[in-house]
Amino acid sequence: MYRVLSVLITGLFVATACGAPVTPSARIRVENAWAVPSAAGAPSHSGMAGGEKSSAVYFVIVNATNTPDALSGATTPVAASAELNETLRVGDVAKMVPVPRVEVPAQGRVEFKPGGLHIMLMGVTQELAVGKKIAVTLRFEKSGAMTLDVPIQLEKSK
Amino acid sequence: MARRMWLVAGIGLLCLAVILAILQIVIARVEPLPVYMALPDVTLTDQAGRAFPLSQTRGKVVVMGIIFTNCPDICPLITARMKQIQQRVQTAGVSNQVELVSFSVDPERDSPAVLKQFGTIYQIDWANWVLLTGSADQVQTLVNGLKVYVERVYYRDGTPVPPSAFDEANLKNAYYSINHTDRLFLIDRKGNVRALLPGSQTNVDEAMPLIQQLVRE
Repeated sequence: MYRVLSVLITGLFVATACGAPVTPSARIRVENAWAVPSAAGAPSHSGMAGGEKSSAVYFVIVNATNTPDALSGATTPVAASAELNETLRVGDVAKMVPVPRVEVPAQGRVEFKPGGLHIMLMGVTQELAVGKKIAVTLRFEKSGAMTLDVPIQLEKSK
Repeated sequence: MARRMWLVAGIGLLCLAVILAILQIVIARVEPLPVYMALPDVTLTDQAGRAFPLSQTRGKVVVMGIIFTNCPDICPLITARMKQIQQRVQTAGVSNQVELVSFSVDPERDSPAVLKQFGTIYQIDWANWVLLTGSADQVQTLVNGLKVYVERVYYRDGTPVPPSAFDEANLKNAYYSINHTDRLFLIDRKGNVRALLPGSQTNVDEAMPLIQQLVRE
């Protein structure tokens, strides 16, 4: 009996020392992503590929690790540019300001939502109709790149 | 026995009459909403390209919002709040007395056809909702009259830059966004602005009694 127990305990220590596989929940993850619809832009209007059309991408970042991380950028094949932005309310005026990076604390979460933090897509090159999905790649300083399959919706899912 | 029944029924009816009378007094005592400003009398153009004098809305309660169709964040939210109001107005059975109006603060890019496309994308019910644009001067008249703040912000490579960063030819084609007042206006049947709601942050539950009050006036 003691021999069996000691083998089991030794086995457990060895597994821990070797680094047991990390469960998916113990990493940065992104949930509930969605983006607002947009018409396709006309490249000739602004000189920017996709013209003047815009969209915004929203999601929740959950950091289940013990290390802080930060979102530092985004890209998508459906727009000329994807920038981290925040809408600020100054009195009753809504103003958008660029954000260079967004910290995600250890064991913390950050929500990108309408009227707040968002990824602004500038120069949308194709129609983003409700029900369609687009690829958006988020770039984290420590966790690296993560590509999302983002549905186009009128509002956040309930 | 029958006599007692008649007596109880009579007392019941009397109580009901008293309650109704009290309710009527309470409703009559609701404070009238203030008058903030008059809706400017300007003619704009709707999403179908038809002339739309704002005086055309007289006789109806108007819920007016500000948009521009390339607005990625706030305007979709304002439009969503107005959609909720439209549905609640319909449920209350007063759709024929309430008009929803969204006007663009970007008349340069928002032609009637672009507004129509925006309405289609956002699945707008046109039954009592109109999207308006106009010449720069016409829109400016409305903007001034409603004391709306509008600021064009130019971008280069995803970063805001002053207009002076472009020469004249490139400025015309540069990407820009617009910072603007985030507000919904409730306008009475006579064309007076009677309530200012916080646009994208409007609480529809709080807006509906105000709309109903204007409908009752």
